Amino acid sequence: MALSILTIVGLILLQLSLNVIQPRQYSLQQVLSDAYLTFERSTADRIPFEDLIATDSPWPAFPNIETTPVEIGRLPGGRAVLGEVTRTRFADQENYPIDGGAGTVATNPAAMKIWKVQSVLRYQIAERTYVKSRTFVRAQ
Amino acid sequence: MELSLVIVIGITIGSIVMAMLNQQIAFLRIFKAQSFLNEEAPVISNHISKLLLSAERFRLHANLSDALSGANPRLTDSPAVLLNFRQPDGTVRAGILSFQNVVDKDEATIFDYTQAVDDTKPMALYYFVIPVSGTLSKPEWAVTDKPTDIDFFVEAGIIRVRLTGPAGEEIIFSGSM
Repeated sequence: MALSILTIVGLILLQLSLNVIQPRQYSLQQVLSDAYLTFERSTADRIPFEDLIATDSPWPAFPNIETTPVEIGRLPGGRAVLGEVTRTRFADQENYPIDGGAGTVATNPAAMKIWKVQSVLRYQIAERTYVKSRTFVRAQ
Repeated sequence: MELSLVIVIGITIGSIVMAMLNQQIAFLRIFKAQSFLNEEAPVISNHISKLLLSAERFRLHANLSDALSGANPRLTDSPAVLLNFRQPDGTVRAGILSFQNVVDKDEATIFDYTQAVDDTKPMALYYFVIPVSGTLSKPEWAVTDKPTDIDFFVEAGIIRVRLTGPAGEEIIFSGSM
C-alpha cells in the first residue's frame, strides 16, 4: 500500500516538474529567436535603398529567395541553435512596372518605390521545426 | 520470513524516496540553468535595445576611461560602448554602457573609473550618464551582474551585443541607427 502511494507520488512529482520545465524550454527558444530577428530588422532598416533593390540584394525580389544558414544563439550548456533565414522582398502593386508593380502616373504620381522586405527564420529543435517572420516596409 | 519481507519493503521504500530526491535535485538544476535566458535576458534586452535604438551614434572602447576620453576607438569586440543622444534643444549628451568590475555601493566618494582593471571584483554591466561637467560619477543603473561576458561589436554597420550567460548560453541583440 505504502509502496504504491510512494510510486504514484513520485510519478506525479515527475509530471509536475516536466510541466514546469517544458514551457520554459519553449520560451528559451523564443527569447533567442526574437533576439536574432532584431538583427534582421536592423539590417533591413539600415541597408541603402539602392543596395536593397540591386540585383545582388540580400532580399531578392519574389519569387526569388535567398537562404542563409545562421546561428541564432546558444542554449544553456553551450549548445548552438542553428537555423536558416530566408529573405525576399515584394513590390507594392502601385509601383511602376519597372519596379515590379502595376502602377501608373495616375495611381502613383510621386513615382514612389515601395518594397515589403521579409525575413523568415526557420530553426529546428528536437525534431520540431519552428518558423518566425518579420516584415518591414522600405520606401523611396 | 517476515523479517526479510520487512527489510525488502524498507529498502524499496528507501530507494524510491532517494530517487524522488534525486529527481527533485535534477529538476532544480535544470530550472536554474534555464533562468538566465528566461528571466534575466528579456529584461537586459529591454534596457539595452531601448538605449541602442535611441542613440544617434556609437563608439566602441576597451574600457570605461577610454570611452570617456575618446581614446583608442575600436571595431573589434569591446566591453564598453559610448552612445550619443540628441536632446530636444539640439545639444548632444552621452552615456556609456560598460561591462566592468562591480562598483562598491557603499563607496561615498565619486566612482573612480580607473578601478575598472581590478580583477578581484566580479563583473557587471553599468550604464553611466556623462554629466555636462565631463567628470564621471557613480553609474546611473546597474543593468545586470549575471552574464559572464558581454561584448559590443559591429556587423555590417549594425551595433550588436553578445551576452554570455553563466551556463554557456549566448544571446545576441542588435540595434540600428
